Amino acid sequence: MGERVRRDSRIGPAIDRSLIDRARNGDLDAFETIVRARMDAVYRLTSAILGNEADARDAAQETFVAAWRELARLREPDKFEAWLQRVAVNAARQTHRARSRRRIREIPSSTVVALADRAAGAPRDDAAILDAALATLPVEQRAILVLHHLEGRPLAELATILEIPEGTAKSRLFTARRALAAAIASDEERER
Amino acid sequence: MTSPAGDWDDTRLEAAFTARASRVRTLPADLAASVVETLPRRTRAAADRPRALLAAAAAIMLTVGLGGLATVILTNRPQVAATPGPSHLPTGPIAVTAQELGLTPIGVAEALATYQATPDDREVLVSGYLSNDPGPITDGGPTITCDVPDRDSGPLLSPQCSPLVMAEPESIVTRTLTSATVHRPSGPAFSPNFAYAFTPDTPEVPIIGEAAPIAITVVGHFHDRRSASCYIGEQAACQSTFVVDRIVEVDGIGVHRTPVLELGRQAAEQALARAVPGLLVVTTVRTGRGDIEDLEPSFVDPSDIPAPVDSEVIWLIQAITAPDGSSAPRSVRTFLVGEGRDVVVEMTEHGPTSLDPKTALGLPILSAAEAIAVRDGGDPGDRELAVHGWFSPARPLPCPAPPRSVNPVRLQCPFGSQWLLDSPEPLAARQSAPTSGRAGFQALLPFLDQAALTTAARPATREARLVEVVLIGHFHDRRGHGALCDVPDPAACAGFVADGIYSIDGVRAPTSTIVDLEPWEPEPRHEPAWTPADVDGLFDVALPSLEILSRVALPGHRVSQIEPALGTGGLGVIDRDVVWSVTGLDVGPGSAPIRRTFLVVDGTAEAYETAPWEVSNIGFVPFRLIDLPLASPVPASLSPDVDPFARAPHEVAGLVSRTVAMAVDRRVPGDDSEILVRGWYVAHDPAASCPNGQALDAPIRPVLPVCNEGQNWLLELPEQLWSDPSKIGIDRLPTGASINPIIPSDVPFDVPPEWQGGSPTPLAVVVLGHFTDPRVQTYAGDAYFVIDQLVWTSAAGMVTQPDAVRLTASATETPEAVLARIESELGQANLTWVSVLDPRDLAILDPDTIRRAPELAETNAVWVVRRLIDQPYDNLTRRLIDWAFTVDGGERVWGGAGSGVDLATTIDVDPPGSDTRIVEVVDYSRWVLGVRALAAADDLGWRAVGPDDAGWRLEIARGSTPHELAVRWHGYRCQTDWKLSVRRDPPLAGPWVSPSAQSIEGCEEDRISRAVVLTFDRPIDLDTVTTNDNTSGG
Repeated sequence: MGERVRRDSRIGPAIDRSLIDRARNGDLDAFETIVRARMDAVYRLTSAILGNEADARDAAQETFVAAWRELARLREPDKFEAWLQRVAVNAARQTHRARSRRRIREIPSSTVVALADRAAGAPRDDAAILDAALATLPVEQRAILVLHHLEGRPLAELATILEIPEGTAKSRLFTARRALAAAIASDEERER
Repeated sequence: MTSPAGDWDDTRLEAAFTARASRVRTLPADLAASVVETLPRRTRAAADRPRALLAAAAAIMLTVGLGGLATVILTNRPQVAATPGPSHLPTGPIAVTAQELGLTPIGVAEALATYQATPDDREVLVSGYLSNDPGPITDGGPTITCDVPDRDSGPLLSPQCSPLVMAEPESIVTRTLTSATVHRPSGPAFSPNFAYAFTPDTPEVPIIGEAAPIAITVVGHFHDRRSASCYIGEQAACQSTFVVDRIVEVDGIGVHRTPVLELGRQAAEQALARAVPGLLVVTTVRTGRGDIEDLEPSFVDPSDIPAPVDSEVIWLIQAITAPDGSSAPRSVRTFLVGEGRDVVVEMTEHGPTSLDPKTALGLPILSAAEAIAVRDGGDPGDRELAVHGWFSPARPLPCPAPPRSVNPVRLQCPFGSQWLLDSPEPLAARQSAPTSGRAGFQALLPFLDQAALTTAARPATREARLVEVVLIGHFHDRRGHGALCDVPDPAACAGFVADGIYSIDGVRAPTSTIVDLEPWEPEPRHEPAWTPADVDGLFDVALPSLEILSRVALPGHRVSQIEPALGTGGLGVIDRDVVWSVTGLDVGPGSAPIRRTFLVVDGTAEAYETAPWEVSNIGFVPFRLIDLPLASPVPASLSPDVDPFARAPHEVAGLVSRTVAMAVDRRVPGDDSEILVRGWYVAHDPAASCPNGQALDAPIRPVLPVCNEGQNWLLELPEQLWSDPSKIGIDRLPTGASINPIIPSDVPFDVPPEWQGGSPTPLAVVVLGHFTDPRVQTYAGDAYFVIDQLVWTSAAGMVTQPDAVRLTASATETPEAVLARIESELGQANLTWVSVLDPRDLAILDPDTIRRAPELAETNAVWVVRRLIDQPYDNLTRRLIDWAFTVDGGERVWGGAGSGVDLATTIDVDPPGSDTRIVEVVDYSRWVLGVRALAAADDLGWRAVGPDDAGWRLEIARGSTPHELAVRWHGYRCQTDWKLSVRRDPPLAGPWVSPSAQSIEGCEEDRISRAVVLTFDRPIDLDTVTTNDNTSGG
């Protein structure tokens, strides 16, 4: 498995270091600027992991609340972007865990549409197959797949974001892909 | 990338991800704004300097404590009046703690007044304000000046200023762009030490801020006894350090101690409760023997740690006495408990004091000398004793084969060399008794599980040592009566008979279970209907005051091994399939503990208890029928309604399924019997990886144990070991029995993914496997269970086995052809598993076999067949795995087990003469084309090779062609079956020839000659023929 080329423009223009420093020192205006600049990327990430708009919204919100709370502890401001993604992944995980305890799950509109399509006998596209397969995976595996395949993060960055050794990132990615393959195969088997 | 499934390559997968992401509705416009609105402005940095910083501060305080518990008491300021204590207890955590510990909340000034008035380490509950902090020390950061009285900075002392607990919430830090100064507070204050307060059950709370002090309530004490370890000039300052034992409240947030799993902590606190009942634990800190000096400065060297608590993990417990209604001060007491130990050591101002347990299950613990005094004191009874001493296990003496049935209390070889001594020095000679000045006696442990004892006797250093034990047992065993012991010397049945092992190295030993159901031939094998837990359950109901010391399950016809009086058929249990013998101490109130022994017929309500001897027409019958209130002869666990294994197979290939606990009982070193086990399977966390780089899911893996994180589990109970989904490793140990099975690469083990959301769901499975696999070549490799087949799962039912597991595509033969070849050499097996793989992979899977059989490496594919065969062993017949190997398309078979494979394909010849039954030529050289018999008397010009003073003498001569080599040897007449090994002798490039035969005792009087002619594929130079230099005929 070779190292992948990182896609660009996924996150947006780089945030000025001075803005980060000001936010670390408690400047809420500076942090608000950061929130507005990164909300889209964080929301996209939490959506991709959770597959549920309501959850994604909560997780994105929690991401920035946690970021504001923890920002002063950020030791390497130059790694702010990776750090923010880590916070987002953790927020998604926490949200998922909290949701798992709910008795009634909110059904996102996209899921309703997909279910309606399936009920009508419409062939499912790859996105729908992927959506169904991802839903069966633990959120940790979803996160690493999303970071790699959607965000285009290479292994080294996965390791940084997830705070794990690169070898571990590699094995976790491998395991996640295998689990995804099994889930897709299982799903396709059921469809037949 | 490897396709996830079918044609799902990278491109398709990423396109799907992108399409999926595009379906998400656009970002809600109000989201960013609503987030910003929710953000708390950090007017106080309570949230941004959380506990981690205080932990750092605590660490600093701790390091100060090493050089001396240096501290700051601002006595140079006028003391303000003591804060009046509240007229009533506040609500919330302070109230809880006050109620729990019986402490009255006071203020900082009152605490200081108490400190000055009462020079003791009484525990107090104090509320105040923790000073703000000058900020982190960083390279290039601001200069920090401490205006508080400085301390004598030892080499470990950080320049960071300490936090203070103050009466008033004043900021004591002035900060500029380039500097920070810590000022003296205007009110009373003291310096806290948090080293003992941060336990895992202390939740993370913001505690130190840069901007302002934070309200805090803590439990702790001044005048800590460890102050004596401070430098003399600093001892007063050390005395005035407030050692915080528990944080109660921070910034109005209650610091409730939440239950957090800490393996061993509960056991340590329970050990303390047993040693000193009635104490209230204030804090329990886990430390290691290498770090304990940080908490107990007197342990400068780990060798100073008292032996009873010296373990890798040590629990430090600070506790106070429970409130008794008086106002008497309650000083804090510190105790140490080694992980898993039962002995508690109290740290006092005079040093560590061991609080050894004085009783075991209600019996006073005697020394070996005291036990001997009881034995020789004129009391011929067999009353139960608990004896402390050092166990000197039996030495590996050569012993004659034991008779089929022996009296369990007979001091026969090698147990005559086994002693319980009053001191740990080993015996000087093999069978010597203790020398003068030492007390000791021979101890027998019949039918007791000694695995833990054996492990303790052979630590990692492999240097055998004596093991400190407390044994519960008795002298004058009824089975030692002359009529039963059946030996001329009464002393041979006069040892101390242990009924249970109470503790090993101070650690409480598990209750012994022996399930030994191997039948004597030709009896059929039966399996118990009950598990040990079922038996315990019966006694829980029938006799709740019984502390079980041992349980033994035996076939009825072997009951005489544990109760010789019943060998003649007394009670009739000899005809029962399985009988449980249960021995325990009845610790019911009102009398001293007494030993009681029961026989219970498995799966029935038929039970007997030992009784005063009765003489009947069949001899001594030491049992009487009793009425155990057995609720049902079939425990609920076997009911199909509640048993998740009800649909599982109960027998496979003649093996009846066992629980995990029963399988564990079969974990006897050297016993590689196949076992059918039912249990709950949990694979390792899919995210786990091993620090040492072991590949957990590699297609070909060595058959070796893996790191802790990568272990699979087979559990007795469907337990959740990963209660915290965010952790890779387990966060609790199983409460039931467990096995960490090894699943070899060529064993199909396809189970549905049981991991979801970071935690697994145990899966009910039935597997075949065995301990003592020869491929697990690690220290204690015998202890690992290796799976041979996944038989059944609750998810899929019976698991279909492939005709062969193909790990290479190079094989050309069919499994049927391979099996036929192997069975022609090794006979039929009860069950076979076939796999074929590349020899390079075999070198990973089974390196020892490749070393022993290098020809297996000289091919493209090797067939490996595991064969379930019957093998006689120790008068019993066991069913176990035998391995067979053959190269694809080859003719020769290698096979064997245990000590390693050997060439099974031989060239056989029937020599003339009635004294020789067969000669098998084992051709390791692959030079031999054939063999024929030869009259030994033929005069071929024999010449001797090798020594002629051994049990045999080898001679060689040229045959009728240069390719023929005649071999003649002289061995005993009664040795009828011979093997003639032929190897290549590298130095001389000629054959190495050596005959061997099984030695038969008592026939070493008459030697005869035997001869064969070997035909080689090359001419043989007689000068190059060699033989073994020192092998005798045996």
